[in-house]
Amino acid sequence: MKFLRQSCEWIDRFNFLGACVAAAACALLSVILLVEVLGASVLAWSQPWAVEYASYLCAFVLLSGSGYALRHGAHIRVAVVLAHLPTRLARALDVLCTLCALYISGLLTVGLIEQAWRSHVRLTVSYFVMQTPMWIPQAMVALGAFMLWLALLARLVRLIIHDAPDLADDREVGQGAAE
Amino acid sequence: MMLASVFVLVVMLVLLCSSLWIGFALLGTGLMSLEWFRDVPIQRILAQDVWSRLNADELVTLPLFVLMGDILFFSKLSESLFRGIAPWVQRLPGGLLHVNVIGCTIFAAVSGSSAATTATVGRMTLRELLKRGYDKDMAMGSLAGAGTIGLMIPPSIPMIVYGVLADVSILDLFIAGVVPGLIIAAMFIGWIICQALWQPSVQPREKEVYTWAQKIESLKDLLPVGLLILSVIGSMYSGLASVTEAAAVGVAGALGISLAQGLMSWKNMGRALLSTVRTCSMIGLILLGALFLAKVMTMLAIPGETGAWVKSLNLSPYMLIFTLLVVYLILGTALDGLSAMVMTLPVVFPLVLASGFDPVWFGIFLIITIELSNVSPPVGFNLFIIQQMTGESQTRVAKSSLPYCILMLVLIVVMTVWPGLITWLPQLLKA
Repeated sequence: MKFLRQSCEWIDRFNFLGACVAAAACALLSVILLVEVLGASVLAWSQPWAVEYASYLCAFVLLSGSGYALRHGAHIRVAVVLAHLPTRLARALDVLCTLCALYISGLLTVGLIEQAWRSHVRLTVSYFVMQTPMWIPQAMVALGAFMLWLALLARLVRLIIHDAPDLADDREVGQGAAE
Repeated sequence: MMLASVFVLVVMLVLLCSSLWIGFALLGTGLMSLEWFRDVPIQRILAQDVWSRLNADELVTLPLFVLMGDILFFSKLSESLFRGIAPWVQRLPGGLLHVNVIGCTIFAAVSGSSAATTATVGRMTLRELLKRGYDKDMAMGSLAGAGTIGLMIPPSIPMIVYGVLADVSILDLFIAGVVPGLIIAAMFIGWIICQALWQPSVQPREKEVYTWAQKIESLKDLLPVGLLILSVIGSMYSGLASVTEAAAVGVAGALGISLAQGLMSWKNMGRALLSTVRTCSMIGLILLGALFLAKVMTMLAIPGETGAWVKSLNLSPYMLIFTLLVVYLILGTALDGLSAMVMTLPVVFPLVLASGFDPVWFGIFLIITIELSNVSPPVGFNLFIIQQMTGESQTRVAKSSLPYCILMLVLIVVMTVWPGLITWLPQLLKA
């Protein structure tokens, strides 16, 4: 039991690290685009790599914090049924949902890893000026999907050993709301 | 192929109702449908689709506008808005209640979220209004209603999501949202005036008197937010910057305001960035699911088929919109509006196009339905925020916001009868 809990905590730390890197990517994304705006409008000096790398960073931001978001209960689900079931049944349904999500994210992770590998083998490069080897950003996104898979695995373990699967969202009211 | 449509619908409903996360439910529906009806390498198609969608240029605006809102959360904008607007509305019937509406309308122009708008404006106005003896229900209702304007006036996170899903220009949506946003703000102001004339007890008898010098002085408080609006919206509309570039300018402006007010520390910056990552991850997963499902549905020829089916029903366009409105209102009682939009769009969008509706118009229609769901119990996010701020029951907050919901429904009727109200500005600016 202790080993399982420790493993889950390591997964949490790994996902927190992923979220921190995604946060840094988000900050870098803002800086790159700001430099592009200022450079292009004031100095007529456009960066050929800005648009390309901005899209890779965005892809990383959107996926790499997913495991961290899952741990904090930020992903949305229609929890009406879950909320009205007796505790045991609700836990069983939650396990089933987590298993299902684990399978889907597993498919996604393997698919993305294979895609990055194919790009590596075929020496595929981007169609932008920089001709970036595609396997690099694709591997970053695959890593994001893998982190989500790991977070789901930790969630499954926590449900099975009767630990709380999600942490409370510690954001202040209204901060970060999508709506 | 009718079987495929029914299969998709049933699987999606079962997965969603089973409490599976919406993103996974949509991905799962797409994967099962492909597995069942097509002999294709699903893993490969999924990976290709996810990679190409995550790389879409228009998605870059999403983390930037979310980050802008998260940074502004650590500023004194709520205080500035109150001090800047209060002297100008003091003499109107309803007095400072108008600060809620005008404050939300102004803040909406720098925030893409209704919840952030409600929370930011409300944390100052609610306290001040109640301290001065304004009617609590009016204060809560006007804030709940006005907070939803955050979605209509650009930048708007749901508009970006809709634009990506429906392949509609985000700039066109941003332009189209301005007129209905201002109309709904005017309707709210009108309602507060009528209510104050009809029931004078909603505001205190004594009014603070401001000289013209004080009024002019108060405008200084609106200067930072005014400059931010000008740099974000102005640069987009004038064509000086793309939506993405304007978003980057917005992040820099928001950071500048927070730094100037001495509220942005490294810790707060970290919190804002992590909050952005969480929000973007949440939106990212449901977007991926919806986009993948839409692709699968196209592969199974479902949009064309459902379009033909709707045509065979001979439903008038008004009837279709009415039906959709009812569906979204019902969904809004169980789901947050953004999720309702994302999970239904792959099915609904082809129907709406087949009925001859403009995709930009439909985007605005959906945004208003999301606004409505934000003030519908039991999952209305604005209600939850005001409930947290005031400690009142959700029923009371919901009741107080009911007149504003009705006004939003009136706007839907008006824009359905006169669709040009939404489409003329984007067309004019394009011309």
